[in-house]
Amino acid sequence: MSAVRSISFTNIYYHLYLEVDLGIVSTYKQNSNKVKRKELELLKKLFTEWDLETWANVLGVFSAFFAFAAFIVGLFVKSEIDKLKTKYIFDKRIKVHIKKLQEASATINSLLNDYDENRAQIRTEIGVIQAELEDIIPKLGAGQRRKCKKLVSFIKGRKKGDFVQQSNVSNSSLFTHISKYWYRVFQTSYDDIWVIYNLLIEIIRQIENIKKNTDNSL
Amino acid sequence: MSDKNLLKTITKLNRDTKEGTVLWDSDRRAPSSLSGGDNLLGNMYSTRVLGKNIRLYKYEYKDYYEEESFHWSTRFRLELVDHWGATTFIFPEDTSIYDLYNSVMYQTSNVKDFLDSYLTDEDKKEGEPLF
Repeated sequence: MSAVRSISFTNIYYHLYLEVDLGIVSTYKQNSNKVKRKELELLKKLFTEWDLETWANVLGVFSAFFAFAAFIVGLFVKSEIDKLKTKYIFDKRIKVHIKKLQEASATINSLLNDYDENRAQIRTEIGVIQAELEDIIPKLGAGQRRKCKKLVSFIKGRKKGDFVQQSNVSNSSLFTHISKYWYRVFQTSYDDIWVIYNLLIEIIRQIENIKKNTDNSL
Repeated sequence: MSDKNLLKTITKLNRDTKEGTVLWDSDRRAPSSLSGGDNLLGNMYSTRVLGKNIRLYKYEYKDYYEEESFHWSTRFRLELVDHWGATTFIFPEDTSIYDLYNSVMYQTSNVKDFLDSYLTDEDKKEGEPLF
């Protein structure tokens, strides 16, 4: 039966041999003897003869390894510093962001009192909301940005379209529903503005919770 | 019961108020849920949705920053009440309640009808851009 006997590490190589109990001589012992001799020679050159070339080679290998490790640590430190910087700026500006978003939601709410008359102002106001969210997005964590990005891309899509009157939207038959979605490529409806308003309210709540967590943390 | 569903309920109430699906009544009497130091500001508004009585109002309260010193702060409250006017549930504070309050005020004051009847067609066209 075969069995794994040992794992040997020598220099940068490691050898794994299977030794068969039936008596087949493995090359393990012969190779391990060779490797041991090489190791002894290297140690002799380094500490007895003080061979500079051997020292240069060995130190070169170690320095390459440490340089690479330092590079990785540097990248990690840079990313942490960037996060701290973003967090600091966000902590300073979070109250202003919340206030601006609340003002925007209040404006949209009052404009929706007479949607048909205020379509032009609504288009302007959702542009303002988009700009504010684009300012906030880089300051949020990866998981926190999702909702803001979703709303920004929705606003970008809807802003281009023609803002149709509220009364033009019918919600009767399946055909009307399908035709409404075909025209959605080119038209923005009253329902779309409510979708924007609802998402904005959720984002305001999310940022208020972030602020509460920051205030309660160290 | 999730926070998200509560927010959605408030925004749906807001939308239904604007569209005229939900109608509100106004009342000047202070609600029973206000404590002694709190004061009602403006009117209290109430409506009935799916058999539930809903009450909405604005009030001021003493916000103490030291033991003896305070300043007056304003809050909005949206709550469910039973037949005797006792509070059964208070919605958590949110921006959307402020927006709902403004929508209810707009609806109950009939501002739109007033503006339509007060401004003539000529008054409405004045000041509009030529292109």
